[in-house]
Amino acid sequence: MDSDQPRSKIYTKILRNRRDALLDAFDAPDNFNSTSERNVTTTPTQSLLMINGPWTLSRARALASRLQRGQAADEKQTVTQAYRLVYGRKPNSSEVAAATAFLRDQAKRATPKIGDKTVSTDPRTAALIDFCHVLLNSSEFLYVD
Amino acid sequence: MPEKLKRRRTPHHEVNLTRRDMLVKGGGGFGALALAHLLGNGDVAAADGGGPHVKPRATSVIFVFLEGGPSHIDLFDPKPLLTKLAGKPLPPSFAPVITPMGEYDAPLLASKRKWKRHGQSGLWVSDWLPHIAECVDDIAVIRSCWGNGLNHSNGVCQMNTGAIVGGRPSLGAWVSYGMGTENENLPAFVVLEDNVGKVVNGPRNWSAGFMPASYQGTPLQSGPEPIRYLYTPESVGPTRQQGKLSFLEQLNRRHATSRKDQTELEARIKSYELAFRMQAEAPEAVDLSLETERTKQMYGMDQKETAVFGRNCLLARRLVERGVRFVQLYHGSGSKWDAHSGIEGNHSTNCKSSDKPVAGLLRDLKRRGLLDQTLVIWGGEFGRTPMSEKGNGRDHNPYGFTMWMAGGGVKGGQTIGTTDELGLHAVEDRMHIHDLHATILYLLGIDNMRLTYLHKGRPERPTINEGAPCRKLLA
Repeated sequence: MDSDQPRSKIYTKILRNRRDALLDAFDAPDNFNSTSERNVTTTPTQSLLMINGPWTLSRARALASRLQRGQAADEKQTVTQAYRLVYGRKPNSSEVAAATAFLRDQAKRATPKIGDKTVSTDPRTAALIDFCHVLLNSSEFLYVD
Repeated sequence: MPEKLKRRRTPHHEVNLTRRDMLVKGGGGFGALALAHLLGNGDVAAADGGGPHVKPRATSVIFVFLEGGPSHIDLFDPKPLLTKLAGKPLPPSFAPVITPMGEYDAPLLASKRKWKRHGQSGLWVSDWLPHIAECVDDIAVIRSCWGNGLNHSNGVCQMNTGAIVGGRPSLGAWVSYGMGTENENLPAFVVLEDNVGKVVNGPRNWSAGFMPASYQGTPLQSGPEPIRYLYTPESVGPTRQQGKLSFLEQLNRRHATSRKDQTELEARIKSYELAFRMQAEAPEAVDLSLETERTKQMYGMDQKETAVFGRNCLLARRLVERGVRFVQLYHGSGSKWDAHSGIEGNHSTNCKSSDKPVAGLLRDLKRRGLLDQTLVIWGGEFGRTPMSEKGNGRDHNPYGFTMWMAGGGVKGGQTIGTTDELGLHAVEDRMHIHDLHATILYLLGIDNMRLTYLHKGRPERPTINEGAPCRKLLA
């Protein structure tokens, strides 16, 4: 297959004795036994991994960068593009409104207080990263209808 | 035919029940409470006005599960006849059994143990469990357990879910459903495996089965970091975290509205909510550095062999102290107790690593005044055969084996039931796994026939319509 053709599967390297934390949390088979059907569990420890784990955070940063490179005219377009990439559909108007409200509020939350030297990311970028992070954590992304 | 039956109409199709019908037919009392809660009736107490079915004695359970099948005839059920007949085949007077490894006419294997009566109650314990032996006055040993699962897969499944095939909710899920949680900031049902070996079939054993997914057990990690990713990354900070989680809930709720049948979605939403609350409360709960050195030594955390399981037992105590309803501690996960050969080496090692931690747990619960309300259960999926296997091992024995219970309203210092003279079949006061489960539920205040969950038109019960509690166990 040509590398620029769309694919339906994701490939990754599995090292036998090094378990991947993400796959483990989501019931990946152990590869020692034949597994006809994977377990499907829903646990708060998965949520902790998704919302605090470094891998998902870096995926969110990567997605945010990709959106920024897309040079959308305004926030509405960014949101629409994000929905297309993550959910494969266009957002409706109330979804766009909710998302842009979030971006605005989150940018405020990410604005460092006077004298606070710890924050280094520009608030609007931080808000976009958080938005992407939420989309990647959402049920619509995690579950196939 | 009795008059009553003649007049009864049997519907040929399932009638759509009104919410009121479901509350009533769901089995009054505790079951209806839980059902009402599920139907979104927020005020659970008001729905029925009732509470527990029977007087609750225990408020939480710690189930020490020795995976692989510990040999009861080498631990709690001495058999002098076994010593006498060692080397001979099983006498024909004993009903023959199917053994999973199929070694028929194998010579009987004597127990090499030294046996003594312990405590004031004089219970028999072998020299493999010296620490637990000192706690016998609080322990009720049940020698007459039996089940239908001949192999690990169906044995562990039945001991957890009541059925030898998967798909039913685990006991912890039923308890979680029937009683809810005392602490909203921690999972109601927690599971800990003790090594990299996995319990056979894994999550099937702590699953919610056909009940909503939020009742399944939450596995924690054995070791210094039981709950990973508990902390919000510093680069994010609490305010942004809160913002993210609120927006996430908004999206997820909207998504779930048009997919009401998918209980996983509701469970996923709840799991994020719980994760957020856990961030606040769980760090303290799992922080063992807050315990004194003396306490840690009681559990054997300062010794190499008992360090891992000791830690898990101490963690269990802290969790039930903070309102976790059901903690399942697997010891030897990966069927490590499964001594088909070399039972001496196998059980020696396994007893060494579990004996002191379990005794430490009992002692610690007792001195903190927690033992009365915490039901501690000890046992595996089955016991082992008096007939040898591969010369120096024993095969699986679900026909008669030992479990014990302590605390939570159990009358300690007694032995209930007997097996035959070789420890093969349970004979007196036979306790099927369903009876065991019925007893556990009873101690928690739940009637196993009254706790129901309506599934596909059938009121499902934790003990699959069987099982009765053992009254002798009650204090």
